[in-house]
Amino acid sequence: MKDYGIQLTKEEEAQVDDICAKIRERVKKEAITPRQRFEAVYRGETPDRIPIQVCALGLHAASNYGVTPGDLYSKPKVSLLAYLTHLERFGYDTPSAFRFSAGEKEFGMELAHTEQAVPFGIKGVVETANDLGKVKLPNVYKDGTLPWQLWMISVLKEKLGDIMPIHGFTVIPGAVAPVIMPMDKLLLALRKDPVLAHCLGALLMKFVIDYGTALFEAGADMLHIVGIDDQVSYAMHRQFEFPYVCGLLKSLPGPCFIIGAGDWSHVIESYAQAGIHGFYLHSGQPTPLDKINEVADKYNCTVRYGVSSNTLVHGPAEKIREEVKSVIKQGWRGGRFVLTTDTLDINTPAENLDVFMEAAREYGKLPLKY
Amino acid sequence: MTQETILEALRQAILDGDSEQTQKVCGEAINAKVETPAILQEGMTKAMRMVGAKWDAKEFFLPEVLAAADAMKSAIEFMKPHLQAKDGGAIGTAVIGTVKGDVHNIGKNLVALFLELGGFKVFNLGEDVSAEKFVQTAVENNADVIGSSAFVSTVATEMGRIEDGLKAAGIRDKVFTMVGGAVLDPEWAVKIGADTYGKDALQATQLAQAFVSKKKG
Repeated sequence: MKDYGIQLTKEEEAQVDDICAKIRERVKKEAITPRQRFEAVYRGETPDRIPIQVCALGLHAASNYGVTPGDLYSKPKVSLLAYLTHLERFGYDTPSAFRFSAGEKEFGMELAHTEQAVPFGIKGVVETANDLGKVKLPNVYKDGTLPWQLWMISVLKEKLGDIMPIHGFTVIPGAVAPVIMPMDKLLLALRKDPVLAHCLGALLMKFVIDYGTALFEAGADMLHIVGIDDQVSYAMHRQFEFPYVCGLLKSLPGPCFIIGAGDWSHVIESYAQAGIHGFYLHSGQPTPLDKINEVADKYNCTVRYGVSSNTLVHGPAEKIREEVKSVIKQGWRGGRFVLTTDTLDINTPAENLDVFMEAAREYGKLPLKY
Repeated sequence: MTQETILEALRQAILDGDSEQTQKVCGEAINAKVETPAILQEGMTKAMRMVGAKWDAKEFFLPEVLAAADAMKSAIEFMKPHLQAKDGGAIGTAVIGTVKGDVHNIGKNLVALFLELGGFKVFNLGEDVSAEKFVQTAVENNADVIGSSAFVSTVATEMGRIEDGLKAAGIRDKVFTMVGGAVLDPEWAVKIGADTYGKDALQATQLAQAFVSKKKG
């Protein structure tokens, strides 16, 4: 394993191995491994059941492990143990992808923290084109928290990679740019200062390609990439986002999913044309699922879609079960569909997530019988 | 130039997101003795309504809306001395912020701007704001409206705590509560006991104005 500057002690490694052994025991009881399940779905085939992916980004994994979300952003070993413990406790099919930051610290952005100690940027180093010289691209293997995700992925790959796919988490240039320049100024620049916007895009391409490549080298099978989905018009997307997404996807050695939350009806086919392998949608997002399925089928993309965090927080159990069933009915098209949750709310009761998992296994059995 | 020509030029400058031109046309309107309420209503407010319509029609996206908002800010800045001289004061007081755990602010700041333009005195508490801070500010300033925003669903539960806080402070019936944000919907407002869900800045402002108008008879 490559040295990312983090070493588990013998005791910590034993803890990790113990959790992974329990995960393996559970996996053994099923007909095929989660990795085989995901791979079948990506090929458009029908495995034993629909793969289940839970987005436990930070908050819920922390509360389940008895630490604060801030601990996950500052202690990579705690983060690894919290995510593995969550995976073992709830029994979904792949570790949740996790990022420690979008690069705020690494790009010199002034940081503040929420009351839950989650970091966020408040002032970037670029206000105008004159400031571009102040941007120092980080070394993805060494600077700030960037190596932490690489380390986590390398450990997960070593411990579970033969039975589960490992996902990395990164961003396109347009989505990392706000760590250099505040989002509102950046969006204004798209309209008022296109040269500055392109300079930023070009500058950040090296970073996103370097980091994406490093994530695959560390062992990621696939990357989740945050886009800027519904924030710009089709024309602006084609001018300021599409060329960079194409460049990124052509430069990376593995497949990538784009993550979106808003109404991206107008750009979804463009992402597919750029070569994206799938769409990771937040539940309740306003893009018609039919439209997404149509594009996904045309370009052989996989769709990840699921149950909302609100439903999982408030239940009741019957509503969770109904939502699981309904999402599967809408989403399963004979392959290329993964059942997910939104980012789990810290207040999601464990029993509600258990209901989700039970329903996902029951209603997700293939071929569907309803 | 006629009054209508000037006001049309003002609306166009705002739609174009051209702050310099917006201020220039505001100056021309004042020099031509166009009444301040006409500048405000037929020029600025109407322009922002047009922005809202273009947003709904997906002709405008965030960069266009932000540029228009920027131009609007410059118009408000330019018009402030004239507004103070002519206007009797705010129609109501609004407290607005992004809830604890969330730091997204673009939509929330647009709502603050629209509310200000709509005649409200606005206390914009910023981002990562606790329910207690919302309630405390509302009590201290005798607020009519509270608008809370969340871009990520994981923090939206904080909005329910604002409702609890208002009840505990004994002012729930006096304050109109609005929630908004990309991941929310009207069902969420009902669930947590808020008065309404605002789908965008224009609708939020109209709802707040309707409430204040009803409240003040």
